[in-house]
This record gives sequence, structure tokens and C-alpha cells, in this order.
Amino acid sequence: MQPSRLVRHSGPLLAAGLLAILAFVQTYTFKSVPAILARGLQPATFPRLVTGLILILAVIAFIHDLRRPPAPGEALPKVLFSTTLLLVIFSALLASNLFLIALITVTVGTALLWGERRVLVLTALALSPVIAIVLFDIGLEVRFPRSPLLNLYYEWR
Amino acid sequence: MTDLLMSGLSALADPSLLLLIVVTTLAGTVIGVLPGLSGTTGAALALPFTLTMDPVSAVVVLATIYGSSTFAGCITAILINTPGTSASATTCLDGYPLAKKGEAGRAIGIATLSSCFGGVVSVIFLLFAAPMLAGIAYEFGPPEYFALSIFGLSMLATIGGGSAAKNLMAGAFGVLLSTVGVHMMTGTERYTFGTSALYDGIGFVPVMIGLFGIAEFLRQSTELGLKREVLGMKAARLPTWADIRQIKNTVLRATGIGTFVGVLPAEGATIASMISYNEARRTSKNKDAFGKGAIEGIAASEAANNSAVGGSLVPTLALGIPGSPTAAIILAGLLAQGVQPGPTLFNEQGHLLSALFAALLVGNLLFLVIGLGGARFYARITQIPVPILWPLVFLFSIIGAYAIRQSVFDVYVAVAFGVIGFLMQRYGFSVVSLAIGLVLGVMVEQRLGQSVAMYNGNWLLMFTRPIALVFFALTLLSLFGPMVSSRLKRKKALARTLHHTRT
Repeated sequence: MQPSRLVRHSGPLLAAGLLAILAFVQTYTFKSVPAILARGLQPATFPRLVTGLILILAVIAFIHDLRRPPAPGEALPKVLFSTTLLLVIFSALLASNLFLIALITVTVGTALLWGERRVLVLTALALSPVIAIVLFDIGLEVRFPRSPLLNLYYEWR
Repeated sequence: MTDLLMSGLSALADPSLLLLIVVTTLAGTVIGVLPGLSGTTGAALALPFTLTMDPVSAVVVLATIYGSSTFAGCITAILINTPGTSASATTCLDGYPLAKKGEAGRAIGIATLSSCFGGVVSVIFLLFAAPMLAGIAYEFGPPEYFALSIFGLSMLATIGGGSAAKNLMAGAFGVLLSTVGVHMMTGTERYTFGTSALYDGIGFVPVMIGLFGIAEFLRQSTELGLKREVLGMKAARLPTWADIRQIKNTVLRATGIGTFVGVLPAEGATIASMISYNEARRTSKNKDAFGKGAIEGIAASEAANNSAVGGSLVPTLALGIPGSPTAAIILAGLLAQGVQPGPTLFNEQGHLLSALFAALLVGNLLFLVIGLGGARFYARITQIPVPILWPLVFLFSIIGAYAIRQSVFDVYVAVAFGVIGFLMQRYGFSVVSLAIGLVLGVMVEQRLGQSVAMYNGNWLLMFTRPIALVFFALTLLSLFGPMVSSRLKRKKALARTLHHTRT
């Protein structure tokens, strides 16, 4: 296999292996407990066993990929990256306590990115989070995090 | 068993339960016909809502969505050559060619009858086998349960199309995720990084919603140009006697295969339909007709995938080991409701099981009405534009993830696992393995701890228990069996080639 392809294919395995190593190292921060409480198995033992297994499997998968390299995947379309960016914006809005605005941004933003241009449809999509929130609030008594727009609704109720 | 059956039938006298079954069967059918939305995704999305219901209604909703979405996949497989669910992928092979010949109604009729037969037989099997298996489980101690869950995890090797090592890795990561939070036995914090939201661990529901809902949302963005054309169909009709005579052996064999594969931990309807389709082609007198509209091909695929539903619920209910990815979500739903699967379930929660049997039976019979009466309408649903449908799926995914614990943190978890799930699929790791690993992880650690404590730290003594030993042997078989068998086949082929060259 060409070195560049090898790097591309082993990248995810390398990341998984690295994650397992980090998880393994992290187990050394777990507190040990007296034997009577641990009943044969300290809190760190099981995660260590599992991370060890993941590392072994990563090596096996790497050897397997070397022998039989997986077919190269199709190039990802630009719209996937813009949709992912929309998820990042959604998370940022959520972190700013703007739950409803975050939802409207994603529903309308996704439709726009994916080619929807009809104003009526986009308006309906913008209203859908509002309707969903009202239904969940009244029907299932789910209380959503306070935000400027939702405060208006809760004050009205 | 008779009590359960009678109680199941009497449960149907409750109009509200009957209405719930009808409504969720219709909803499950919509989920099943929409390409990209599988029964697993549907159950994951429905899971948060079921937590607001009583356990009986919750299990009825999840099981009916599972059954009806598995069935509905055949409608789009036949009419638009796109399987609504992966379990109907083999139905496309003969269903679509038959529909193109102008016999869509016949294809739908055969698929409906085969699905209904397979589904009903597997529910009856579930009714008898699950209590029996649960009875055997009385003999199980921690070592047996530990060995069984290890066997369940080993079966993940054959899930999906990726390499066995990658599938097992994904399962192991799922198990590792289950260790996040405060350790139940000792109160020690593990992988919480000081975040109080992680003290209770990573919730099943947001992870499932992320892996099956949001990951699919991202995947849909890569298929925006795809056009789907619905083939014309006058009306679906029941198969003729000649058709029934032609498919009866295939349907019986497929039902057996489907139920058996369903019972195996982690293996679900997709694998059942593939094995059954290959078996039908192997034993058919008209091998050449396969792929060109053979009715045995449609019958084999549909009888097998629907019978796998009942089969997969046997180990789920009797042992707490999910028989399929969707069964893993049903198991998560049961656990979230405080219902513990296993022998005690059959003694203490009989009403819940009878309602489940009733739901699956009625659901399967409803397939006849839906398949024969509503196939054309349901096929039209697939024409809902992707830019309208998927933002709404995302919206309900997010609200569902939030609603359970009313926690914004769970929304982040769902979004993060959506991205992780998409990347996993892209690089050949199975998201189903991760989900099942997460569900089984707690049980594996708990039973291992109990076993070690039972033998005062000498865990090797677990191998002296015959039932545990059988499960460990099965684990080795499921891990190395395929490798050994392919090596043997290669050796045989080599020997044959050498023999031919000599002669």
C-alpha cells in the first residue's frame, strides 16, 4: 500500500488507539478502595481490561487493513461540511442559552443549505420548533431552558 | 404459557391499548417506508416519549414500531427499488424486477403474506420459548451471565459489513463508555473529569438518538441528488393458490432461519433476510429466475426479516441480552422504566409480557390491511422532500434527547454522537456495535465483579461451571469459527485445483 493511503486508512485506527491509551492512562487517576469494598475488582480494573482489548483489536485491524486495504470512500460533498458547521453554530447558540433560536437556525438553515427555497416551506420550518416546544410543554410537561424568546412564552403562560 | 396467551388476548379488550397498537403500527410503517429511517432510528426517537408512559404502553410502542417498520421496508423495496430498512435490501433484488414487469400488486401481496406468516409464527415462538429460556436462566449465576454477555459481545464481530476487529473495537468502546460516571459498587468517579453531568454516566437515549438519528441526518446530506421514482401499481392482491404452493416451503424455511438468527445475540433481521435469501436461491429449482423477479426471493427475504423480530425478543426478555440492534433499544427502554429482564420478569410482570405478545400479534395481522390496502399511499410518503423531512427529524431528535432528563448536556451528547456515528460509518466501524456495547457494558462489569467476589479473586474457577463453559466455547466459535472455516474452504479449493492439474 502507498504510504499516503496507509496514513489515510490507519488514521481512524490511530485515533481510536490513541483514545484507548488516553483512557488507559486516565484510569490511574481513579481512586483505589479497600479490598472489602472493591470485592475483588478495583474501579480501575475493568476499564483497563477494556482499553487493553481495544488496543489489541486496533493492532489486529491495522494488520487486516494492510493485507486487505479497504476501498477508498467517495469524496464528501461540500454540503456535509456546511451542515456540520451548522451543528457547531447550533451548539454555540445552545451554550449561549438560546435554545429556541438554535433550533430555528438548524431547521431553516439545513433546509436552505439542502436546496429548499420556497418561502412558505421555510416559514413553516421556522415555526416547527415553536410548535414542538409548545406541544411538549403542554402535553408532556417538558420545561425547556429559559432564553429570551422562551421567556416570552413562559411569561405568557 | 397458556396463561400468558390468554392474558395477552384479554389485554386486547382494552380499547386504549388496541388504539395505541394501531396508531404505532401506522407510525412504524411510515418510519419503515422512509429510506434512512430504520426501525432502530424510529425506536431511538420514540424512546424518550415512552419514558412518560407506563411500562406496558412503553413496551407496546417500541415493539410495534420495531415490527411494523421491519415489514414496511418491503413496500419501498418493491415500488421504488430502495429498501425502507436494511432488512429489506434483499427484497429489492426480486421485488423491483417483478414490479417493473407490471406485477407490483402481486409482489406486495406475496411480501405481505410472507411477512405476516413469519411475524405471527415468531410471536408464537416467543410466547413459548422466552418463558422456557427464562426458566433455564434460574440456573444462571454471575459467571453464567458474564459468559453469556461476553458471547453476546463476541457476536458483534459479524455485525455490518466492516472487519470483525473494527466491529469488536466499536463494541469495546461502547463497553468503555458504560464505565463513565460514579462506580456503583465503590462510589469512585470514573472519566467524569469533574463534570457533574457525567456522574450518572452517559445516558443511553441521547447516545442512541445521536448514533441512529443525527448520524443519519448527516449522511442524508451526502445523498441530496438522489431521485426516487414510484412505480405504478393498480392494487395489491393476495397471492393465488399457485403462488402459495410455490412459496410455501421457502416461507417455512425462511421463518425458521429468521427466528433462529433473531435469537442469536446481536444478529437481527438484516442478516436473517440475507441468509434466508441465499438459502432460497440455493435450494430453488429456478435458480436463474432469482434477481429477475422470483417470488421465492421476495417471500424468503420478507418471512425471514419479520420472524427475526419475535426471535430477537427471546434473549432480550429472558436474559437481558439484545437479539438485535432495535431489541437493544427496547432493552434500554425496559431498563429505563425500571423493568429488569430475566426470569423474574415472567413471574412479576406477566401483564407487560401479555401486552407485548398482543401488540406483536395484532401488529402482524395489521400488516395485511396496510400491505394490501395502503401500500400505494405509503410509497407516496417517500416523495416528501429530504430538505423538509430531515430538519424535522433533527428537531425531534434534539427535543427527544433533551426531554428525558431535561438536560442541555444530553443534547450535546446526542450531537457529539451524531458526528461520531457518521465518522464511524464512514471508516467502517459499526455504530450498532457501539450501542450494544453500551447497553451490555454495565452487565458485563457487574457480573464479572460478582464472579470474582464469588471465587475470592480466583476468576479461573468460572471455567469450572458447565453452562459458563458452553458460552465461553460459543464465544471462541463465533470469534474464530468464520476464520477457520474460510481457511478450510481455501485449503479444499487449493487441493481441488492441484488434483485437477495433476489429472
